[in-house]
Amino acid sequence: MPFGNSHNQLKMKYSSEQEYPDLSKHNNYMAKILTPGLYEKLRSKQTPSGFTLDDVIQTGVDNPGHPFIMTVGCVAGDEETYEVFKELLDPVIQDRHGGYKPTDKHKTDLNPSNLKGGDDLDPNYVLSSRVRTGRSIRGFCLPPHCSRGERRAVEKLSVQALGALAGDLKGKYYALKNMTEAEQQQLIDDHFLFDKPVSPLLLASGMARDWPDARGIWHNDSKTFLVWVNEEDHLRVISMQKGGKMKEVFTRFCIGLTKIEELFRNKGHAFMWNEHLGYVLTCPSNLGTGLRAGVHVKLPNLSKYRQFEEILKRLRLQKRGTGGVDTAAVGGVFDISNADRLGFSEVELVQMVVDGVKLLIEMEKRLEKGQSVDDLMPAQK
Amino acid sequence: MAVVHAEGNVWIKQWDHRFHMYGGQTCSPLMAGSWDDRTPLHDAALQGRLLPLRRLLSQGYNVGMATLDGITALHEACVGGHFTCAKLLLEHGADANAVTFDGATPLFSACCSGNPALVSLILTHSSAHHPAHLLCSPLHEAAKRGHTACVELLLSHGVNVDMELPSVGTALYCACEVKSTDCVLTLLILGADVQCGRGLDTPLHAACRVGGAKEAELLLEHGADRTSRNSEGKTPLDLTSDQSIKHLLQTAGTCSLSQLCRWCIRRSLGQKGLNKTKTLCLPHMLHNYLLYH
Repeated sequence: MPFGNSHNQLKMKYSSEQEYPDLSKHNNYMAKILTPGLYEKLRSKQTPSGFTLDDVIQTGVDNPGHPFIMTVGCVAGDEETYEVFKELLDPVIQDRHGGYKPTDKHKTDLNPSNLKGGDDLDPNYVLSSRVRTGRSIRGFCLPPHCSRGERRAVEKLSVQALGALAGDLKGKYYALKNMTEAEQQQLIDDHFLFDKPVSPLLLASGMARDWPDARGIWHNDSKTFLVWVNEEDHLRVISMQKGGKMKEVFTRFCIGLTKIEELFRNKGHAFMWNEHLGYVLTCPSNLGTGLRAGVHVKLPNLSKYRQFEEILKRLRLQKRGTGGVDTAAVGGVFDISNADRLGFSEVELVQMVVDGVKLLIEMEKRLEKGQSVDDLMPAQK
Repeated sequence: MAVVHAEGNVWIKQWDHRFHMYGGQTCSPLMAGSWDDRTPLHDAALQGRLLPLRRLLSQGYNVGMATLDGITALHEACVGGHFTCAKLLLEHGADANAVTFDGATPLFSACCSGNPALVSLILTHSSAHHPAHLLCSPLHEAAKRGHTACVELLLSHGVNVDMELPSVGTALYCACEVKSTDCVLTLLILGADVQCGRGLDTPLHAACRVGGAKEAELLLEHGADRTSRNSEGKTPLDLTSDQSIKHLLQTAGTCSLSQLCRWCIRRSLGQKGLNKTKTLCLPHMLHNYLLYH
């Protein structure tokens, strides 16, 4: 990183006004909250690993944001960032996560038997289902700030833990830097491969340094459980399969994630978690569960319905493009997933997706027949 | 020159490789957050940074690179209101009719930013009558944001001034909702039907609801019917608590015969007729009378 312990000391020779970044054209949460006064108050602080305020905000300074899309504009360099810089990060979290207060407690529930339904989403409409999240390993800095040694240690620990998985979770690790062309092509065909980010927002945070050192992909033999190592977070985990059996996907997600966590804990490295923020990840937008549960679903008629956006909002869902997965030649296919991350448990978020998608499909079927959907309009969840 | 040439080749291979890797997308959709898929091209276009944009394009960057939501660099240049960047992208083959996953065209995005030169540029490369505009209407967006010059441009390219979007209303209705006085006046002068709003809700209902006294006055001057009732049976007077608006509605007297005749003729002519009227060799007095000059 351009900043660090020694540079922070040098910087203190300049006044706060001289160091305060120009945020006049910015549209992100950080820019709205970081006043000159707050900057002055926090700028001399640093975490035990040496992550400073300027490190936190650099990505938000270098990326002014979008007129219509609010980014958080800051990252954590380690677990302690959220405590040392809480005067900045608590308001950012509150704005980003629907008013989540510094005194709120997060709920964690990774028991798939608590999920009601979810094994009967109509496969004629739901092409595939997936649940994904991230995890951070305690005792190491996060990707924007970690050293090469730390990153390699994270990779080594991850390979060991994943190598101990058995049964339907048994699989193989592919390090990015050692991949054969055939392996690369296979991972491309499976839509699993990731590469150095080109997004200026991600690059400015520093998470892509030394690429592709210590980065890699692990997946199980049946390709329904996948782990990315040292991308935006230490671990990105996803469970997925064709069709609408979200219950099965979530069950595999919970079992796999719990086993991995147990394996890491046995080696003396728990995941970063606390009762206020839940699971701690690099980006403040991904705290709590860090979970995104989604389906690729065909909604060609409903998507033309003027109230489509309002329906999704009321169901606390969001929609995105599918990027060609499942849908290379099909129109009207959406990636529908939960909009929240923090303040709801994993089961609650997946439940919202299951119940919401079921309703969306019912509305789609009505519109196919030319019938009204007014009586199906949901209340705000 | 050999070195530069070789470097160019390396760059082209790199971008092509990525394009192939992700099936024409900018990143893997598997884990991507909402910002991972924005490339340096999108970033440069959005921020109006011409030099990196020119450099990336000259290095072989695919001008049509889209995010998972179908957003191209041209969309971003238009959102940012950057004429020169948009022009450069178009010269490199950017698709001016590209539609994002949310249904936005570059013209729609340009109307969000409100740069008239940019809107004019996009209109030379794409149709004002794109089917996507029935859902994401540039005219309504311009009216909603008070971009009067853009409204004029769109109407001069034949956009239907009275197009009503379900649950949104007409452009005039939108302009009244946000109290955009200039926009209301322009729409009225260019032929908007003063009674067309959102269903039975007229623009006057909208103006009264939000306390737009100037807009209410303009609407009345152009023949708005203050006695019309919306679907809840309410007149504009029922919807306002603003004393000056109440006074305006209650004291509006009988219109002159001259005024009534003008309204009647203009309503008969409609938007198209009024446009053609400009080209007739009418006496100045009559011309100014009909067209509010």
